[in-house]
Amino acid sequence: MTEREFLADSVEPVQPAGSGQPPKPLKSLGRRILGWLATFIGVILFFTFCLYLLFVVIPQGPEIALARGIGKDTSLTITKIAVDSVKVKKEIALLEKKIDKLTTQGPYLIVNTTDNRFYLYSGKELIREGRCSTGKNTRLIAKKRNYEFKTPRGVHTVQSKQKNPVWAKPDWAFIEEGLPIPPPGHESRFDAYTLGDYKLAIGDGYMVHGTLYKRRMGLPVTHGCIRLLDEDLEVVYNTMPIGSKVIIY
Amino acid sequence: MILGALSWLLISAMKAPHSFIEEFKTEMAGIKNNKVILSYPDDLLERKTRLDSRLAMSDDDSIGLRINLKEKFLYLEIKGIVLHKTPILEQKSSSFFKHLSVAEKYVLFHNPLTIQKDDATISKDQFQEVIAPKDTIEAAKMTEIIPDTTLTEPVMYRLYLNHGIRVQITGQLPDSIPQFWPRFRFDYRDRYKYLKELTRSVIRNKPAPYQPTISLVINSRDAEAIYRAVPKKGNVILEL
Repeated sequence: MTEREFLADSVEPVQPAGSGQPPKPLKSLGRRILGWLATFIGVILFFTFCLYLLFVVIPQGPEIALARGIGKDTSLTITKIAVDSVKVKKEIALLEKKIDKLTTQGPYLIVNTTDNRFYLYSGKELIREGRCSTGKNTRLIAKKRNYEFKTPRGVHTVQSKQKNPVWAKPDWAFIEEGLPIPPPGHESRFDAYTLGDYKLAIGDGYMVHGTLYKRRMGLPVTHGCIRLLDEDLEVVYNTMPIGSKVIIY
Repeated sequence: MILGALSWLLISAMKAPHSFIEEFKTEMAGIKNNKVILSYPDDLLERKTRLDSRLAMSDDDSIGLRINLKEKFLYLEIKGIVLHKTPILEQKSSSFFKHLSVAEKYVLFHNPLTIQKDDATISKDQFQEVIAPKDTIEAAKMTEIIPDTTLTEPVMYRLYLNHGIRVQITGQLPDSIPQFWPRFRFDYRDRYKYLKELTRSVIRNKPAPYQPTISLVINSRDAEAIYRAVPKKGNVILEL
């Protein structure tokens, strides 16, 4: 190879200016951006797909399997024997009688503390229903002790009944009003108006009674007792003897 | 690799019912099967299942929940007395229940199921604390607290029962109240918990978890009343 031929091979040819071709670096930048965008979208789609698999498909896996028949065979191996269907029918009729007998024959009161409603039944017959007020679910924090004002859920029994009851105010009634607590038996403890015309004691100091605050009927505002309107209270008082059930839920 | 791990989780999740059913069969085999009872005609055995479970629940002194999917009603009962009845607005149950025979339903449900634990968006007893006033002036300034009973978020809870069965109850609120996000949050929490348990079981090479679920939608006030009425370890009757 001559020296001229060697130089012609080793030196790159120079592009003449204004030849019409775009500059190389710009073209590759555009392609790169497109590439990044495609990768970014791909990654986003991939992660969305993974999240979909994780939170939608996989938790549904057991149901998909059952729908496709995997583990469908749950049947116990029971070898059936001949049974006397008359006997069976009798047995079931007896069970139905037992269930029927479970419903109290006498009157009973059901109180719904969520909706503040009461239902007075006699056996299976609904005698009266209406609004009532139940516990306000607050905790009074005093110096010596705390008091919880809630209506106790469960089955209670009417333990005593009284016309024109006088309320012997407990300590919390004074604490709530910011008054000093009087000694037991003090005249300021007795209030002849607040409980209305009748009261039915259901144990632990809780009562079904009337109220002076009729506007708040249907709201959870009491200290745990069940307040009824005068007419409802009269019906409840006259219907429910001592020993009848008050069911609170 | 990620896809491989996810596929493995999916396969394990799909295997879960099989191992659950195997366990269920072993449990069933352990029960002293009364051949005579299980040989009753299907309609009579179905009635017997219902009556036996109601009678068993009436022995308990606390309030129990009865779910009747056929009549589409939920009942609160105590000593056989129905305290509350509410219609089921929507219901969905795992395929597992659809595969059960009448005899299997008898073995599973002739006694009430017991709540093992629960998970809810509301508390059983909510107390607002009030500091006692120092004197009558402070007492006069205090406004009486009347709890706000209007619901702003749907009530949702899951009751985890024995035999690995669970019941999910959602309270339906009027359309005017936004319900999507609270429901999404509650649902997401459950899915996240499931994935955690599933991953743990896969790593430890144990059978994947499977809990046949019954999902119900009822009125929100009723959902609240039912949740607060049923004790923490209360009884639940399932009538399928």
